[in-house]
Amino acid sequence: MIGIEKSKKKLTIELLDLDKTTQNTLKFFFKSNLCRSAELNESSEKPDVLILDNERGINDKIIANLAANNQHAVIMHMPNNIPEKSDNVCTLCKPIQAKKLKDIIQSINKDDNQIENSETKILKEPELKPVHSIKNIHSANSHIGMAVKSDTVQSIQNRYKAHKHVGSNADINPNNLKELDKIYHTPSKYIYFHLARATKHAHENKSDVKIKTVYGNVFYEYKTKLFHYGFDKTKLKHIQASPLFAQTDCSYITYDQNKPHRINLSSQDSLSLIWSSAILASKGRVPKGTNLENTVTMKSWPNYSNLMVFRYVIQISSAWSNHQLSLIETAKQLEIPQRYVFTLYNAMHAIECANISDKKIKSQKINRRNQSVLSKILSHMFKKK
Amino acid sequence: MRKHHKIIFSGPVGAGKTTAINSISDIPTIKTEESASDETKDMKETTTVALDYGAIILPDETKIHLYGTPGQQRFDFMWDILTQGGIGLLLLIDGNDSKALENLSTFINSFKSFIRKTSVVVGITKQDMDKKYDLAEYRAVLSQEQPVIPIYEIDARNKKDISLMVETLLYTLDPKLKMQA
Repeated sequence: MIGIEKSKKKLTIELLDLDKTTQNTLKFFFKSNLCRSAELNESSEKPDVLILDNERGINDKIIANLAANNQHAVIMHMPNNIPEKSDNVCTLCKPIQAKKLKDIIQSINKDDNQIENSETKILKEPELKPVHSIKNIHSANSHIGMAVKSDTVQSIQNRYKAHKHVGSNADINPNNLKELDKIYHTPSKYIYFHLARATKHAHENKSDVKIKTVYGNVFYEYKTKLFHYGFDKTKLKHIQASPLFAQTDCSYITYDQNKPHRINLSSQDSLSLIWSSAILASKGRVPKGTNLENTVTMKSWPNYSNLMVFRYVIQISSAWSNHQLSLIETAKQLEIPQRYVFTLYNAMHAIECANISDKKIKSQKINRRNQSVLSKILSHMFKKK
Repeated sequence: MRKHHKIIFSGPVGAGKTTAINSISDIPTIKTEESASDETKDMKETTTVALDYGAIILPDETKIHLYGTPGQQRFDFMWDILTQGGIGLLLLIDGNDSKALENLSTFINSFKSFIRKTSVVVGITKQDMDKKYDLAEYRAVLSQEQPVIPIYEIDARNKKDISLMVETLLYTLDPKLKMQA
């Protein structure tokens, strides 16, 4: 007899790129007795289940990748932003309910135990099974399964690092209308649009503005150009990155009405909040209808010493300040992924530093200088930073 | 003959040129400061009368000279000499000075021919103190300039801020610039 009857095994769980509060909550959940069928993966072994947050850059490609690699995953999501399910990928609506999470984990565990039982069966009677059925099993603990999982976890972790702010959209062909949908979003569905609109109204009417959000009110004080809000950074990030539930309500109130509500509120410079919200909402997309072929007009240079930045922002800004370039041509000439260009344009457009020219002008070619010394200085400065 | 590469730091008295050079120089900076004797005396005890000097030493020993011009306009005859062979200009403006907008315009005009051949990045310092103008007002002064001039609010003591200015200067010279491995 080859096989040994195994005791019911606990699933190992890995929490991937979650915000601190969620991470701590889930850590408590898995370390306590609330879910006995699973434990956090504390070894270097590959986990059975990944838990991810849809609002932190998950897209169809990642989900397809998880499914293709037989990696179990639970993706948490906002009610109005449901990711696609697959055989291995379960979805869990926020706010997270312990019972629902427990049910999902148990169902995965049940599936895994069934697979393991069939594997045990195969081990007992190998000569009776055709070769292809052994290959099909890909048990969670088989060497093939382990290798595949290792790649998936690694690639997702790397992707998060590189694409934290710009999503992970692949470059598109602007002539392919089907692909255009992937890079367009509707600004009014995101908070950055309403923040920008609120500042405009406030200055036009010389009145403070209150914006209602799912987590509470955001106040804009036009005299100080500050936003005030009463929720933590995690919630703020959720609001910035996720589509809004319903039409956000902006009411215009006077300073005196506003003042009593502002005790213990966090404050943030208006431009930096609109900017970061536009980046988090964009994830490599531009407002619907943005002309990708016409050139970008840069009106002013963003104050990058005070703003959330990501790779290539200075390079792209320099190109726009000096040359007439379309969004597509910018990415092409600088040899960088389009999503960086799109994200930066979305943020610059939100704070009115750039827009797209009405006329179709042929993009200019960026001329090279003698790079040698400049490249050396640049490399040296980056190392020193 | 070995070519000299220079980055020029300029701006009015008290804008933070000496501090900025000091924050990124790989060698101890050489300061030619003297006790202030003119109206500068009201602003600070010593001032740069000839120039400040620092350097970035690249791994292959190439020296990038960092020159700080004296801030007083009566020394403007030196600016032309100092800028010869310069890679570009980092212009610092004291945001705490009520003449900040005027100073920005004056310095940009004084260095116009050098900027045309190279590039400029503007850093507004002391914005965390009693800032006299918003960034939008500085931008308005430069609104007619093409290409769009980068303006940042910076702290001259902060290496990151000065590095950001240098990085911007290099990319405005060549957006296709690649870092060496």
